[in-house]
Amino acid sequence: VTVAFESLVGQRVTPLSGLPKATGQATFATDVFLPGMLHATLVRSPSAHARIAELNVQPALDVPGVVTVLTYRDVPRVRFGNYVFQSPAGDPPVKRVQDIFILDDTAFFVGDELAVVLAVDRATAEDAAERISITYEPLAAVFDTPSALRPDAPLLHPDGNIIHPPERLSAIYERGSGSDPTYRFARGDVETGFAAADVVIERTYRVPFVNAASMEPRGCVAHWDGQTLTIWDSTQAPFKIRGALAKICGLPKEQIRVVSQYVGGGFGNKGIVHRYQVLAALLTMKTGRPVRLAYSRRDEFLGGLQRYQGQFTIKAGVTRQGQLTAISIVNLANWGNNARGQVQPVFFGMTSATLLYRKCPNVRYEAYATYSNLPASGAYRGFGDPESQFGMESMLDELAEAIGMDPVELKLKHCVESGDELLPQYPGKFISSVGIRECVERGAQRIGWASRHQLSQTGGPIKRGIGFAMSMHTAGHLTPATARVELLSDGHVLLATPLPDIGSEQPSAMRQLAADVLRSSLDDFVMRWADTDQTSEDFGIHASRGTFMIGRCVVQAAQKLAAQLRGLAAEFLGVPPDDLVVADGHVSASVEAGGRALSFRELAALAEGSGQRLEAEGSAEETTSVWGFAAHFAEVEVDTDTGEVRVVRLVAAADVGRAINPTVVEGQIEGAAIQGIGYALSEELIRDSVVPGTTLNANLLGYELPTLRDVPMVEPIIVESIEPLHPYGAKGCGEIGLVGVAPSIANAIYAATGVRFRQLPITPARVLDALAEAAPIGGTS
Amino acid sequence: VQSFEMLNPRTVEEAVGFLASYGPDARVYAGGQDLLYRFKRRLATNPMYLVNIKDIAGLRGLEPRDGALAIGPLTTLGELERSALVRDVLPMLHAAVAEIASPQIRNLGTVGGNLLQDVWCWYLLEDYDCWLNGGSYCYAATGEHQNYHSVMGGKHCIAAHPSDLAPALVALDATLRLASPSGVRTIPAESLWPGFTWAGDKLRNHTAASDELLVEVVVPLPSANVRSIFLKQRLRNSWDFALASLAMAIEMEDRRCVAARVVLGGVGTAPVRATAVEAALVGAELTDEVVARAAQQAIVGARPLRLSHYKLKIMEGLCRKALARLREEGDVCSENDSATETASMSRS
Repeated sequence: VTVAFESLVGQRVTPLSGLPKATGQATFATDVFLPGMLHATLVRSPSAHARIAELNVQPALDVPGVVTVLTYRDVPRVRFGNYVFQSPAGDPPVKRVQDIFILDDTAFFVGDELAVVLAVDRATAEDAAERISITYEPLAAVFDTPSALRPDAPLLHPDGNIIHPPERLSAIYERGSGSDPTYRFARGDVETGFAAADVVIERTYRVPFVNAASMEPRGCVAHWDGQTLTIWDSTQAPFKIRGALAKICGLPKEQIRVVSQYVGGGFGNKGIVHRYQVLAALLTMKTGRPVRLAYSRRDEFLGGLQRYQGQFTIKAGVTRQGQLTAISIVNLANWGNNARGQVQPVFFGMTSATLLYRKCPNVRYEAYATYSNLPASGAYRGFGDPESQFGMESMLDELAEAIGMDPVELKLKHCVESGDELLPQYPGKFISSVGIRECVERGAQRIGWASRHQLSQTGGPIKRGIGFAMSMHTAGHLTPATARVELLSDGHVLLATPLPDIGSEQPSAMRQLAADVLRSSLDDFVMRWADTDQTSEDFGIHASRGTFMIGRCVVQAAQKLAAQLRGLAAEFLGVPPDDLVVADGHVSASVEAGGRALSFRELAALAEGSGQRLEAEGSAEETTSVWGFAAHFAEVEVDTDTGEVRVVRLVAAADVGRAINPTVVEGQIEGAAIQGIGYALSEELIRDSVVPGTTLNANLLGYELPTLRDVPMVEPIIVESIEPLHPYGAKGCGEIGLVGVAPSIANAIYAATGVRFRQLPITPARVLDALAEAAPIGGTS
Repeated sequence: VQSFEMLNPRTVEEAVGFLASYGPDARVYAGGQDLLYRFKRRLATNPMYLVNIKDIAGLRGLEPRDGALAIGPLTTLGELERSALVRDVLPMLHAAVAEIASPQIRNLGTVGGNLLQDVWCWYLLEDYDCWLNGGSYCYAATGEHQNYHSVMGGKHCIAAHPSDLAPALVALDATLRLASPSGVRTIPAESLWPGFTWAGDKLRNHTAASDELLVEVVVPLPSANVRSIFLKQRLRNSWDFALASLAMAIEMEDRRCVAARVVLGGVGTAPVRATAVEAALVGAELTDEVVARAAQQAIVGARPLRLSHYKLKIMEGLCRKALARLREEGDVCSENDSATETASMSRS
């Protein structure tokens, strides 16, 4: 039986959250106001590394309106980290690095949380916080990776300054200890490769600490009513928060509910347990009153997570014919004060060398991620790939120039193809969809790559150039994953998905998939999402996994429900299920089979009458072979008088498998491009050199996010490679759009000026200093 | 927000009375764009009393008067920016205002607040015990001075003067009227900003006394043969302070520059008159050679620090760019003039 139906997948439907957000009806975590609610504020360390010698909180407690103050003396001495949930299969708990206490007697960075003040309102809490007196016993501190690696460096962690990753992944890498690198991988033999090369280049590329600057700072409202601990949280991983709180508060998971329906930006950065959620939970359980703990922007800069500072020394060899013979990368990664089990962005430092340029036979990667007395690093859109691919894409540009080859040609020649095994990281895993060639071809055509050398130059101070970079990033994995559908008594279909809407309209795409499977209208659905009471355990909205992993679960659940509906209708209509079709809110028999139909509402009543529940759950298994690709082409104007770089065009072609809602996909590509422009040209956390470790621009005035005046109209191109492992061919698209932006700009600046920039951000100071260095003595601009 | 006491005078006399009696413990409150952020940061230097002048009549608005434009200090930057009059008769002032901060801040921030704002040194905002915060050390001098600090030296504090309006007003030779309990004095705008000076035990970046209130800004309207330009270079193109800015007004006669006022912003603790540039221009035609030589004079007297040598190149670059544009504008104007002449002749 076939019914004419225009698929909803691929349609530019109005996203689910658009109207609630535009009208202010969407409730974000700290929009929740409950009667009798108390307000908490965090007290942060002014010292980069110090032990509390004396502590007096009495003056704060004496402030009228203050309810309580917690310091390390008042909380259990429990270490907690990132992944503390148990997998649904009942496997033993995942063991991860857990290296932060609920509250500590030692501050590990300027801004480290040392106490929390709870009062009737925020101003009172802040007034009181100023009255807490702490005397510090200073400890030796470390601020960069080379210093942390010195044998005489102060030890910041009992296991040493080099972070060694969790045991769970030990099957796929050599786990080190002591002075071993954090990660070490090899394919082939690089020394043999260098010997076979005609040109060998070694360069060091540097990327700065940056902050995701989500529009909504972190925060939560926690309420313990004696039965249930409910926490409305600005998190990407509600189940992870539930797991951690269950452990720390000593409650069964079933007594904790975490809700994070709307999150004002996440970027991977809001996916772990922080102190604030734990403290809010402890405070509401202690007082029995609702507690609101909302980060200020300053809190977000100091108590959030940063993108790590990396120094990539890359050595690569190529033959005159354009065969890459070897790539060796040594990455010194400055991670900050604690890892909380999430040092894996450093693992991704080799994605490009080992996976994207799969055809390079000899690759070595060695990374030293170290602790320092700075705020912690963590996931941030691209999860390590923007950091490393800046260096790799610059290096390949340098190599291509050295042998007089078009970088597009050199790169495509070595690029991964569908069916390749993902070695050395993922033995036994084969990549199933690769749309990079189409990204490059369409992007090149749009920007006019072939005629890039004919770009008109004015002869004045403005120099113009076009640059190219391609990129690769994971586009869907990590279990557990889940979704649930249920036919409600009024005939609506409830779709419950586990992931928050962090701006990517994830639930909206899921509704499109379910509607397509059930051949229903979008209005037939009642949506519930990111509420731990509504679905089974899920990993969270991370790693561009939602569309792929949850999408598979939604389709599976909807298909199961359709089968149930057909089965029930078959019973009552006396028609075999195969002669029935689900469409337009009805289950209908074909004309040959009698043409009768039952509406969803009628079916719901029939099910109720016969004591059946029309409900289904979908789940998905982990795969690591789903990857997204992009090609970025930037055209820049460099003002050699002022050092200003203007990105005048940015063509961003991304392989997203299949676009479920092209409007939303374009939004992801454009937003990522703008973040990439910030990474390339202006963003950097400025740390003081006089009182080392102090962040001098922990505010949106001093932290130079690009404004609308700083970005061009991004030109997104959607490439659909159709991923075979997804029922609709879709992959994730949230992160890939950022990875290649900075190197495309850096390569464009080189094309414009002949000067290579190997350190981000490429500020006027760096541009002018480098141009002066490159210019002949007495030459102008 | 830290607590403070708000005083609400209805007249200038009442306001300066409050300022006189509370002295350095009080500050004028108008648009709040400078003060409120500092209150939210709970800085040690914050005043205990705010003298709210928003309810005083007669301090807001624009008035053409005797070949000049009088601007009330309560006029918002947005009002100034949107004034067709300002755009027509003082295009350089319009250009400068339009580059201040962000549209939101311009809608609330006032002319007086922009001229008398505190510095935005990130050490001060982090409450370091620097010269401005009761200490006797400038952290920026040895630390992170790459963007927002002086390259022209400074006394104790080296934070750059943050106003975009100030260099424009100095280039336009504006005058300021300041009221105090003892009356009103009129001073050239330039003299309000000599750099940092001590007022009692406090270091200040302007010379208005603690009992003085700015009551009027008077900008003379330039003659028809004056060409002017404002350029601002920053790390991003909205909501940012100048790495360097340039306000330039030159008077031309028969292709020759007969007078010039060139002022640099963002590079000194006060707006800096680039007198060497002015000298190189006066009496000269704007040939390529003169433009290049004059631009090189922009850095005369500069004392850049470890991380800020690049700002000198921007100063020179802005100067070169400004002169090139003014020359182009002149060419266009003279072409237009001759075209107009031809047209009117043919009509008659």
